[in-house]
Amino acid sequence: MVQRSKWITVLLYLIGIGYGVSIILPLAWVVMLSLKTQLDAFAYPPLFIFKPTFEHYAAIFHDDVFVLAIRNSLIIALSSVFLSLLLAVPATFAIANLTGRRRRLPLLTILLIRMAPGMIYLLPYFAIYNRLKLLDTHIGLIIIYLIFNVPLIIWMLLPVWNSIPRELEEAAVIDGATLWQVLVRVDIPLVRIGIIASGILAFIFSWNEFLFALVVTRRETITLPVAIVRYMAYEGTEWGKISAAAVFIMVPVVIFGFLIRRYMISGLSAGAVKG
Amino acid sequence: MKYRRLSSLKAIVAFLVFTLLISACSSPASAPASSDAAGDTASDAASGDAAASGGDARQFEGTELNLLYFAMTYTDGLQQLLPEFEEETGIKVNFELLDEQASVQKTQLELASGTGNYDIVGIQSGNMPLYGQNGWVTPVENFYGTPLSDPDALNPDDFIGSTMDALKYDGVQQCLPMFAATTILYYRLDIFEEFGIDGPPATYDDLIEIASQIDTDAIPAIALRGSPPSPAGNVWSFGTFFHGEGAQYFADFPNDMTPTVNSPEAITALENFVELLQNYAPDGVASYVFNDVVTAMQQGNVAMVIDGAPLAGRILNPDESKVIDKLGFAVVPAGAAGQKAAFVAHGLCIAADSPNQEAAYKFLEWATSAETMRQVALASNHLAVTRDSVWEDPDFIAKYDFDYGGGSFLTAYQDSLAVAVPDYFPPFAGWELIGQRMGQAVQEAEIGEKTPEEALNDANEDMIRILQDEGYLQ
Repeated sequence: MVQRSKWITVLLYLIGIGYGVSIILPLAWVVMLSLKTQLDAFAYPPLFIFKPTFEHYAAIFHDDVFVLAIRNSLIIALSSVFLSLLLAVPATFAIANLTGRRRRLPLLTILLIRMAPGMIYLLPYFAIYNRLKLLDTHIGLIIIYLIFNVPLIIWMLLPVWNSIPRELEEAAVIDGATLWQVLVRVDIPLVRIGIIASGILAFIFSWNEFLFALVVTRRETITLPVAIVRYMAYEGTEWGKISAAAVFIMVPVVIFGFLIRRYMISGLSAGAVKG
Repeated sequence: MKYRRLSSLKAIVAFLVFTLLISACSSPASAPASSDAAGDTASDAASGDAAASGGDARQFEGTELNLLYFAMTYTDGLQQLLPEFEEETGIKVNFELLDEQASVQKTQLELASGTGNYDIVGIQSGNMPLYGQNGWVTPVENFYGTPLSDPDALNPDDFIGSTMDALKYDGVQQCLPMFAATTILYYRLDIFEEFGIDGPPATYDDLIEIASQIDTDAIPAIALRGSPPSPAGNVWSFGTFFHGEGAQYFADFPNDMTPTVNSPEAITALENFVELLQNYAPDGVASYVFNDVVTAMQQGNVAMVIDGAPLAGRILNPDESKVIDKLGFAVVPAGAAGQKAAFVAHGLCIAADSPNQEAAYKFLEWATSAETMRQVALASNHLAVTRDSVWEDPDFIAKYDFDYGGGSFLTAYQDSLAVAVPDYFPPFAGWELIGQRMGQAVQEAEIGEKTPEEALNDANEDMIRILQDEGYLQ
């Protein structure tokens, strides 16, 4: 009996390690590719020991368009997260305090908006933005990302919010707090971990998004994922630059990923019930 | 409580509206900038008319042109020369370059919506019917003989005829070509010598015979594009086999659009193609795109490839290649119908919705002129030039006439262009769908899921349905 469970443990570890490797390997590969010369990059059998070069990193940071794209991506991703939270936090507060049909209807609508494939928004937005002169503007892309981020945040925050005991809010109201004070002083501090977690997810989405960025941006507001495809030239892909750029794009995502790991679990399960 | 709730909601809403307004005001100046640009243009056009009679080089001073296409050696080289043009004319040109698929999608979306944002767009000859039919481009022929046009720079007769024909619609020259691609056979002289083979294969039977002799585990005999993701995938490689046997996509294009991709000729072609890929090619060749083919050759991992002649710039680039002085070049082998090489031309067009038509023409004329093309070719790896005079230029020949004992590369290139099939992909708007279905059939046969005959029969049936849906067939 002991013997068997040991085997099962070993097996589970193997599965776990195998799964981990299958996730890490492509990332490690990209990092290695970004440090190889074009000639080393496709040597067969693959080279694991090679003289690293930073030429690709130097090249992308000397590329004006890429530098512009870093700035654009930061502006767009951060603003869209900020605006999404600004809309979604009070919205979640409101929904959490509604009951019955009045609660279900907005929730369902929001979910439907999010469930629809992004593609269906693409052409209408292009046509409307063309009229409104919003193509190739930061605010244009920020507004589009609200469609995806606001529902995401609301649906992530709602369970956290529901776990706040009604008594806390009622106690605050009895003590003379306005609704605004209940939100800011009582609820937000209690759900802040959830807010951070959902904000980070929203950031990652906005940071990585390609399709809308391709269609509604042009030269001025090009974002990082679109700037990368410029390295896929007709006669040949510049793998070194692409992987250097990919590594650069992954950095904030990986950092946030580590942060979120802790918050995700507590953010989703934490309540305010302290007895 | 109810009232209070309402008023706080109001406060929140007001706050949000306020924030949105603030960020809208502080967000980038591109929207106003683009209307400014349009304003400039109007005034430019007005002053341009006044000055046009003198053919003033700087009559479009201050105009800003936007170009959209994909990154390729030609656009890279053009960007390097751009300061000269900008200094001479006072026109500023912004290049917006993406990868192939993204740029084609974006171009079509922008042109179809008539946004007027792009003045110059690139085109592949296969898309000419689509662009022509929709009136998305202003025919460059409209500017021939006008005071704007400089006959020495334009010199239409100096372009390779087939590249010009590929960019006509309804008999009218729509765009000007800057890139002429065909396929050639690259082969390793050292390996051929080692196995005592005295020259490149003349026919597909020879090719299979030679492949069977030189194929080893370490260095497989041949690599071809096996993956069908786009018309630039396996259909591009397979087409030389297909046309070589005399097969046709349609009974009588464009009059009778009944598909004929399961003809005996087509089946023979696919049998040859599949035999090579299944027996004498590297593992995983069914997922090869052109980049894999080029890399396999550069790395010395394969003895022969049939692929784009313009790729020689990369295959023979000393920074990337291990086989520089070991290659021979030949026209593709012959099938029952002779040697048939692939063909595609790329060109630059004036967008029909551009507010800067005349300035765009000036740029187009400069960008495709013999002198510009010569300089681009000498400064970059762009050798797929479309001007006869550049092909005869001594500096060009000195740079690209690679001859490592197997004969001249440029000769093989020009001989291939001579046997290239002008309508390599049938030029009609429905080709994208047909090409995709064809690529799928070729891959099904490559991986042995179906026999070549089954795969092509199924494809033929599906194509009938596609063509009916699209209105090409009753």
